Amino acid sequence: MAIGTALLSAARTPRGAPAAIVLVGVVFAAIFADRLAPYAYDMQSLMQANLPPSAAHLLGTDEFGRDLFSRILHGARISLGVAVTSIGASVALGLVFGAIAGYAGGWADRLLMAVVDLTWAFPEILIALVLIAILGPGLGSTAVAITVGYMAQFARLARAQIIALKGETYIEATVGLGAGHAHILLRHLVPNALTPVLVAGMLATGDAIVLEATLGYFGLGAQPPLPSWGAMMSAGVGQMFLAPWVIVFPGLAIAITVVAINLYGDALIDALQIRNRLREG
Amino acid sequence: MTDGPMTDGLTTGVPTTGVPILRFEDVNRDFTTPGGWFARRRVLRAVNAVTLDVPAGRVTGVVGESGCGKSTLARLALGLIKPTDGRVSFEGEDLATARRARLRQLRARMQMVFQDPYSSIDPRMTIGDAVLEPFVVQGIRLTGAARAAKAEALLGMVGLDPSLARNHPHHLSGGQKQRVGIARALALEPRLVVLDEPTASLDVSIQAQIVALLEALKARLDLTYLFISHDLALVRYFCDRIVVMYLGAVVEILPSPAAPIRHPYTRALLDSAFVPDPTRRQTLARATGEIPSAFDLPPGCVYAPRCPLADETCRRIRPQLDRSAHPVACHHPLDRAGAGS
Repeated sequence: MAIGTALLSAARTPRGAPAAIVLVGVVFAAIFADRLAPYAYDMQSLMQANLPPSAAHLLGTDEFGRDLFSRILHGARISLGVAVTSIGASVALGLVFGAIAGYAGGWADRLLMAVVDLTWAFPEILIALVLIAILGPGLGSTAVAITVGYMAQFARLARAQIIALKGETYIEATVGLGAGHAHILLRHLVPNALTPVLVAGMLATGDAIVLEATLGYFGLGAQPPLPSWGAMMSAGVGQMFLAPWVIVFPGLAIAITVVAINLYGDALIDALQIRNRLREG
Repeated sequence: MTDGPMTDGLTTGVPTTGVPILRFEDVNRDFTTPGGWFARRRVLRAVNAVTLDVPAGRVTGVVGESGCGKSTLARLALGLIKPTDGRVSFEGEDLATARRARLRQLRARMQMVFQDPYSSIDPRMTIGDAVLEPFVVQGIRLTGAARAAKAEALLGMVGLDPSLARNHPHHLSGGQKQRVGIARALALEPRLVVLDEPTASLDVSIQAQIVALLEALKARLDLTYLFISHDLALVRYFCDRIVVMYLGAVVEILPSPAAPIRHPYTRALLDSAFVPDPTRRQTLARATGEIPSAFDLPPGCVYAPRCPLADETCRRIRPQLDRSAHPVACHHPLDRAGAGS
């Protein structure tokens, strides 16, 4: 099934439908955060610090009196934006390395996979912390850290797909027509290997949001006053008992988004019938 | 059909009927199993000292059981794999040493139709793109209108409705896909077409249609076929000349389909074919016993363990293909068996 039709049919399953609605909502919030937010995300009002949810402030305010609802909408833009772009870069790099390794085989494969396996051997958070220690905190370093941290799984998955496809008769048939390596790779192998890697990328976006939030929580990601969900939670720790909404709502935003991504991704895997192709990684 | 664009500059030395277009000279091909920590590397000889000419304009059949090396021979013929020893040459050019660009040109003139039509077309390509891919690969640019016309002509040539061009392979039946495979192979107007069991995965009724199509196309396009099959009856019907292979070696070359059989293995192969008429069925089961492992060939005749005529000589000395008009590699060929001992 083509990935376009699969996206739609996954959204019609009992598991996929609510997840798809949530995801469309989150993406919508991220794109139109400027228009939807009732207040600027950095507008302080110390007189109105730590207010509980009310009609004026739907989700309450934080210690500086900033509107939490506005900050969560803007946080969606940052958290989602960082996760999606870095996973995108990660998938692209993983595809390039995996395709070359799988197609070339031999020493090129062993060399590339040795490097990839080295990053595969450590938890993503550890790789991220090391990279941020080198690059310094900030959104850019967070993006680099996520890109590198998750690349190994895409490279391995792409490589496994390419190796499996390499033995197909249509590849031999195309070689028989006189095709060169570029034609074989770009016209046949990569397009056929793409779907499982893209779906794995989508599922990893959920993990990447959590990693971005974790780094933000440690103060290594988005720097104040930029609202990222993780950074907002860490700001809420101090008032956990005085104003629990400051930590609870960003936490809920993370949880709901990640659960939606996983549910929808799962429905998509079923719609595309590629569960067995995702195992190697 | 008009002259193919790629035949320009390559037309010199085009062999006329009967002259070898493809030659195997003492060709061996080994496959090595990957060794591990505990497993020794093992070498399998898939093709063993094959010397063979494929004459232009004829249909040369290659028969043998599964695993006898006939598909390896097909891939060697097109330079898809390189020989371990020996030389495979197409129109006098060694395929193993040809440069990449030259090999691409040569490949326009020699094509293959694969056994499994279900996996020989990229599932993501439309049928139109699949039959036009040969031109893309060979760097022949076609404009929009020429593309459509060419796709239509190619599909029409193999008896398919041109409207199928927009479909994907999974919408087609096995027979239709095999026709697409034939159209792809003939798109560049090759001289030589290697047919690797083109009917083996099709229904019997469809097989007959495909064979009829191949016969018609051969006559129309002046093709040379190397027809690989395990079906001796089909090969006898379709081919001018029949090469019988057993465990990687050529054991007999029948100069015509009706030639009297000389090798006991060919006899067994023919007897094992299913005869529809019950009154003509024989109950002979001549090919008994084990096929020796290709990893570990016996020193004598490779067929000796299964041969009813085998004696001590057969087990010690490997027979060579004789140089007669009807070559056979046997110490006791059938036309001499009665007179000899």
